[in-house]
Amino acid sequence: MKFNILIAEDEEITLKHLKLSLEKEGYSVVGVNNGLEAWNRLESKGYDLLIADIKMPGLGGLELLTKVKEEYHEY
Amino acid sequence: MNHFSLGKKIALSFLISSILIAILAISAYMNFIGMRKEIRYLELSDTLRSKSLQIRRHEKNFFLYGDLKEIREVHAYLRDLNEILEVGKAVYNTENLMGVENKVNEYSHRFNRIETLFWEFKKEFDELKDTYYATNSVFFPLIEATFLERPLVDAELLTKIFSLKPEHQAIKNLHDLDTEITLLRKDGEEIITLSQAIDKFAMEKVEKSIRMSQNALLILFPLFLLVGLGTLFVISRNVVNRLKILTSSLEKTGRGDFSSLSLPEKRDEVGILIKTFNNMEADLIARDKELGRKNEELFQSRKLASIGTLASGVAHELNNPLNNIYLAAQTLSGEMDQENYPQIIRESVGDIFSQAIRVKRIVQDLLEFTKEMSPELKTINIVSMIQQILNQMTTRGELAEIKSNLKSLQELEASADEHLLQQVFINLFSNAVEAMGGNGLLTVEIDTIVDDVRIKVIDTGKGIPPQNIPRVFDPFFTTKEKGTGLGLAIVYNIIKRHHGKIEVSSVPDEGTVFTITLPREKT
Repeated sequence: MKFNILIAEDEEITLKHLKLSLEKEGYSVVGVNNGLEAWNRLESKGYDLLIADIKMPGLGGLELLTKVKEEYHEY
Repeated sequence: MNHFSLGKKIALSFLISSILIAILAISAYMNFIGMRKEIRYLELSDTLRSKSLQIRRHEKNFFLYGDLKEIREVHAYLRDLNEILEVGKAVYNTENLMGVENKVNEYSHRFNRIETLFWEFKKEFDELKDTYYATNSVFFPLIEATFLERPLVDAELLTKIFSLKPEHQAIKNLHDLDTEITLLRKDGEEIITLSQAIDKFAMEKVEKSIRMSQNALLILFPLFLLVGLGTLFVISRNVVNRLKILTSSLEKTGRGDFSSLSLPEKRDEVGILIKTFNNMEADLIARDKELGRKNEELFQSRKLASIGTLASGVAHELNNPLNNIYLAAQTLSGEMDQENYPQIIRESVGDIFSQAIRVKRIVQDLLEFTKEMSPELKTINIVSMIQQILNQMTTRGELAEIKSNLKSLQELEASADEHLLQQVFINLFSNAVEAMGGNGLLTVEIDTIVDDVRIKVIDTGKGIPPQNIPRVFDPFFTTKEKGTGLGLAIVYNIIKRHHGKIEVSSVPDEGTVFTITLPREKT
């Protein structure tokens, strides 16, 4: 079974190469450009790992993590 | 006289002047006493002379007129003379006075004898008068009046007129009188001569005393002047001149031009003043230098701060694109592993990857260097921390053939930020390993000095050239081909933030010692 990874990164090139590297290792990777989008994605589908940039427009990585920890106790 | 202080010099000059004046006063006083004595002696000799002349006058009158009053006068004057001589002898006791006394005694004796002879002749003459007065009365008054003046003429007359034999008592008396009178006259003459000599001698002595007083004045007064003028000269030359120089130097100092005086060293008050002034100038020069150094330091640190700000900005801006290059290169090289690509492409991708890593390290160092850090102080065991670092480096093979040696007396605890301190020793050890070129001995010595921990990192590497020593902690200063020049700058910053101290000493081709001093307690 493939692990699902969600990456939140505003820098397009970084996101692309992270995605490529991880996919090469055999993971199913979804990339988004900001924290809010990542938050929305988390609601619709269960992910095994969330990789987030700290500095992002709108919702930053640290705030996103705080929200996630509050909402999803199982993580 | 250089070793005398000014006060001593003045005191000495005053003392010499006082002694000179004292000598002058004493000699003048002694001279006056002497002079008074001489004047009295002169008085005495004068009296002596006049009395002697009086005696001679009365003696002459007696012989001329045969007046008996004159005999009394002579005796009276002889007594006077004896009295004067008695007094004079008691005070002066000179040979001349003794001579006069002898002569006076002789004279007195002779005069008495003449007096006896006079009366004896008178007696004989009266007898002759009784015998021959009736026959020849004319000659008697003549002889009676002149027998003392011309005894021999009268004796001849008597012999002829009265046919007296030479053996006759009267004739004998006259002959004796003549002899005695002649001798008495001679004695009188000598008394006069001697008293005149005494007079002259006394005069000379008084004059000598006066001359001595004059000479004392003539010699001592110029000496006195010389001492006074000498003191004045010494003070004006040594003191006034040096004070003038000092004043102009002080003015120069006031204008901010510091220079010490190179005057010959003298241990007087002005010398001490100049020495104090020189010390002050030296202090001012040192302070001026220190100020200059501080200014330079401030300028340097401001320069570094602006460099730091710039570097930090650049590093932050570069960090993201660099990350992307790194990731892209990683992706690419991942691809290379699977497919068969031409050599040149594979090498180029490898170069991009390794160079990206290198730049990443530089940027990391820069970020580390410019990071505003405040150490999180915890009590840590320094000895075991360093031992751990050494162990890790050994495990990773970073020490190559280098042997490490940790010398510490006990487990030492200090208040420090563990992560930052680890970085310090990793940097220092990495430098040491590089300096030794893979072979040598790395020694770490840990001990305590009062409230500080002292850690020495000693290597046996190629050392640091002396001219580079002052710059080793400067950021961006490096002699390595691939160095950023930030390693030791970071070390320096971390130690400074711990309120510690780091020093370096090195002997080229023998090795380098870094000495770190850290306060054990939180400060």
